[in-house]
Amino acid sequence: MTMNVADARSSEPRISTTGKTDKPASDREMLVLRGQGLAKSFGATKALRDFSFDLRSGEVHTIQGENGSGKSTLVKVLAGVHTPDSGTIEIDGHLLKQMSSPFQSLQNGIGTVFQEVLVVGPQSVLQNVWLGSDGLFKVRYGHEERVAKATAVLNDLLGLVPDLEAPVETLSLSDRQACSIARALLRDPAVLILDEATSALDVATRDRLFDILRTRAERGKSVLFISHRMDEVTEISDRVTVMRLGETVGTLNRAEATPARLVQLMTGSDVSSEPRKRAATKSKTQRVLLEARSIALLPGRQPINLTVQAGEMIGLAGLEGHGQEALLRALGGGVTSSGEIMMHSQGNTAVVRNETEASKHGIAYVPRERKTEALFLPLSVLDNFALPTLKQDTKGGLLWPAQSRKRFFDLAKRLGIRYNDADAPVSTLSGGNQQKIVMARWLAADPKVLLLNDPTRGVDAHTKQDLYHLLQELTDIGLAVIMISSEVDEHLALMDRVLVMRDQEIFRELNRSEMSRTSIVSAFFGKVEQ
Amino acid sequence: MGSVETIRSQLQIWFRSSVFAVLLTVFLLLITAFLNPWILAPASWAILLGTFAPFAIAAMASTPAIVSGGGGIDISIGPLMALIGIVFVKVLLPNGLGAPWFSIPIMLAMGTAVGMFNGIVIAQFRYPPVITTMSVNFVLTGISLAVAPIPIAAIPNWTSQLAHWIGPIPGSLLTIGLPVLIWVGLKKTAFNRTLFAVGADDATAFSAGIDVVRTRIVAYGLGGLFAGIGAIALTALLQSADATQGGQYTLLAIAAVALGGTTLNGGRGTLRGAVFGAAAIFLLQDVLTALDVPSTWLRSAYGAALLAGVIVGARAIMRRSGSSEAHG
Amino acid sequence: MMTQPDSQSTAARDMEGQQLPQRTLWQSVVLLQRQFPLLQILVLIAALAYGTLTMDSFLNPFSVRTMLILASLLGLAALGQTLAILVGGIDVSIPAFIVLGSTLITQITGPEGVPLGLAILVIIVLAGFCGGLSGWIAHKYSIHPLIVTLAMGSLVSGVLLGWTNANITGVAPPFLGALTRPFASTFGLPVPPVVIIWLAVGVIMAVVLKRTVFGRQLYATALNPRAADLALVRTRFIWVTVFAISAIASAMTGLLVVGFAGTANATLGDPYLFQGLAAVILGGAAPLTGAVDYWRTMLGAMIFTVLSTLLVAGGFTEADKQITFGLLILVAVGVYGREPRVKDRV
Repeated sequence: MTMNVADARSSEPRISTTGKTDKPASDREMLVLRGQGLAKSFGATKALRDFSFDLRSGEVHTIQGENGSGKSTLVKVLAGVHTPDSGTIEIDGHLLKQMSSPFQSLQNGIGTVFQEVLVVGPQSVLQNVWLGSDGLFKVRYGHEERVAKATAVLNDLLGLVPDLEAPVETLSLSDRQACSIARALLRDPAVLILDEATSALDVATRDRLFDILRTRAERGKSVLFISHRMDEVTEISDRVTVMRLGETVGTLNRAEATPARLVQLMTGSDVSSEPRKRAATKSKTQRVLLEARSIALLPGRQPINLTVQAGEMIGLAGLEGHGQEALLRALGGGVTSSGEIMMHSQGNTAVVRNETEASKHGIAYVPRERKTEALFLPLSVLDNFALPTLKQDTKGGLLWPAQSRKRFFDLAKRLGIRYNDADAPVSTLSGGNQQKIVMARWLAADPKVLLLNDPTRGVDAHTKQDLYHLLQELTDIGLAVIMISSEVDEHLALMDRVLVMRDQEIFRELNRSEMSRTSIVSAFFGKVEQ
Repeated sequence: MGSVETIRSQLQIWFRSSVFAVLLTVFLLLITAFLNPWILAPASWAILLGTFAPFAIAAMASTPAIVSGGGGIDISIGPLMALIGIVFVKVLLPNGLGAPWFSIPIMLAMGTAVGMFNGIVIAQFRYPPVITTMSVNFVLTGISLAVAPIPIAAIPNWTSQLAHWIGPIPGSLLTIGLPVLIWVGLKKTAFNRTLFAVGADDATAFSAGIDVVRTRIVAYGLGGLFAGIGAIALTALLQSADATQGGQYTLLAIAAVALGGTTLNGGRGTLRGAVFGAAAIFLLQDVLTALDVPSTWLRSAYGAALLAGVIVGARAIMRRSGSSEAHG
Repeated sequence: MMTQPDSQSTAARDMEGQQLPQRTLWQSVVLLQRQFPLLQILVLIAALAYGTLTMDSFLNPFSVRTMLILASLLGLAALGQTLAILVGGIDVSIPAFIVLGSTLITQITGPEGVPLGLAILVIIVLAGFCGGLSGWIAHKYSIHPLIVTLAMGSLVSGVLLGWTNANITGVAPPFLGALTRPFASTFGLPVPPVVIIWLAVGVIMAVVLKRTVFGRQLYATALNPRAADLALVRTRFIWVTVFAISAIASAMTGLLVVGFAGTANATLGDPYLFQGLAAVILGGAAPLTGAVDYWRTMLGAMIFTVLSTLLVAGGFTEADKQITFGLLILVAVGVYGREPRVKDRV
């Protein structure tokens, strides 16, 4: 990998490497934050290998990289959640002692908004905005001051101030995210870190946030911005640092940071994470496999009707939390407000009432979060693979592991799973191979319809390519695939149809000829554009 | 957001937090009063409250650990109360150290120290709370048995007033009132809202800069402090050193907390709920006795009531979390 | 099978030739200890050696057989606790079900005149139903099993108390007494039948946990209930079964305990709550990594019994025993059962 990085650098002569010592003195005085040689490992996984960057005062500096490139680990190191194994962090030219908690990071003027929406659900908006500002016993701000400041900051961010005493869990996803951003803004940190913090925001709030960031910048306050949305990156960034496999690839100025250049740097030169265009499904078969009849995800929402044909690949898109997952779960026999799911096979039609029936009729649901929803980390690779299909290996009431092993070998070869020992804990595999194990688990059940919840999230480029290839293969032999993806490029390249969801309803259905980056993304925000 | 909605959500919060226990208590109190009119006579209040006090305080002492979340629970409260009481009766009193100004601080300090020990082991060293406090429960019971192998009556001392009258008020109102006062006092500080934030979502609290470990240690310490007060109430009632008298409160107290609407998942709960939960269980026994149910059947009735109570409570909570998910 | 996530050799290979981080000797020992209870075996051997050297009568047939019987009773009583701890719960109704078994067998075979086989069947059905109900309630309403089993325990022991009017008159059927008599033999083997029963149960448990679909699903439910649900494991059924097995095993232990003691009473089961928990934890149960097995509990039960024998012989009281084992549990949990850090969940 080191070779590739060097290649990328040599082929990009205009990239200014970070941590340069030959900067003019005045320039260096403007630095508020500088990280050098940061590294952090978890067990044998080196999440961060050698990362260096600098942050000037009053700039919006974006960190870009693929999923799994170490962005989140970097954020957590700067936020005091993780202590780096090596490397240094300087603030205003002073070397920081090791930070061991977010509290210390805040004391050093770094305020962080984390990727997951982090609010305390049952507590009030006011309490959530001021969370962590008190001592253990000491009240640092009086009630009037708390209300006044929270009102001001939420007004800037939301335009309309929600009821400060309402439990924050009664707010919309976007407003909840806004509360966690407001918490960081209130403290007016010299460095504000936003880790994918805009993903849940609606457009208006995001625009207001960007205005706030620009005003802050005029006051000399800096932002470290992390987003995978290219349009956001080009809109707000002064500079962009690209990272790959836990290392700095290079830093670009605003003018140089074109999407094409960024993608090239992020992926390296050897493997593209770009999905190859999938051949459209031949519409000869016309065999309907799965049918959803007037499913309402919530009471009173527009019912969803959907027919899925053999060999078809359908994408579910939309902003986080707009019902994509609920629809996918519903198709797999999950709970809905009303409506029914039918499965057709060889002239028979069966109603699918729950997950077990769905599985029996050949519908397999592959969840999104590997660690929390799919894997049993201390259990062996084999056990993780075989769990839902164990019945096949049972004879006389007893399990015969040799049989699971045989089944596993075949699928492992087909999916290109790399492992040393099928009896070792699954936690010893890399993220990409873990994802393949989860796929193999459900392919072993011989499904007719595969429901995939963002399967390429957080896996490396190689695995992505393998998965794309597999999906092509599966649809070729007549499987239907319905897949949530957070990457617009995947929809453009792979899907026969894309359903864009908004507020628990299907807002727009786009076929191949209607699909474009603009048409998909504008549908996210409730606009119809071609 | 209209104000009507705010009022309604406030009412819901209040309703679901402890009103079940309050209603049950009032209902049982009415039945008790109907069956045994003498309890309405003020003269009997002091005795009744004196019997009730150790149980109510044990329930309050169990609350902070549960609220602090992370599966937090302290099942060493009962034996801790017993041990502190035994130390007072068998060690302090006979050696002339039983004066209130001397013994009260010692008893409270003992409780706080054991509570904080639990907190440190659980929060700092990341031990599972149930197993930790159960081990401490065994150790404390063992120490109690070693100090007082057989029950021993206390020499006359100041605590007896606390189970009777002090001037015009029942003495046990003082022991029951002290934890409430401390809790209300803490509400003036930042501690309560910090504690509830940690209990509801420790990862978020941590990421916002809250010291989760210290908050939890203080929560367990607070429970221990309340247990110290409970030990005084227990001694007031028993007037003896009896190693077998603590264990019965342990799990009953947690049952009372659960009945009072405090979820065992942390982050939600009230001290009021604990007191009324304890009152409901306490009165249930009275009612059954008054109804001439043989004392041998009390235990099963209490088990059935507890089961019914926690299920009703859990259903209320499930309905609430179900409705909040719909907003997501 | 239940190895630790720490051994990341394949991942290292995956990361294109990176070096494994060097493990210190201490880390290697801890790792080995988590996979195999080396320390427990050493403690057991040391305790046996100490007993042999300091006490003349320690290894005589009577005392060895008595220790084996005590360990068997404890081990059987701890079977349910092992499963409850595995799924991340706890079962405090074990004493009540021991009393259920011992009271019913003495009352209905004696004064009521029910045949032994039918009596045992009735006990199994009753215990299985009540235990299963605990598991169902705990799972359905997500109430901590501590609370549910506490209530169920009170209910069960309360009904027995009310029914017998706190006066259990029957005596254990002689057949049960024979199972736990120190000098009884089994099919010519010079060990009491209860020991053979215990070993057989141990073998059955090993097969059930390792070689059946139920066993695999049980570990999956224990380690990641959400993922288990999504992998179509019926987790509620698993919980119901776990607590039903726990209740049945406890009630059956009750039969043996009353056979050993001769008569039943309402507090017959009480010591087994603390001792059973101690046996599970001293055996090295680590629920968070799925390293919970019945054979570890069996080892824990033997350690507990031998150490208790030594303490009693050394003139220590019941109180001292309780303090010692309470502290021992704290030490053992420190090695195995610690929870994840808050920072790993941000």
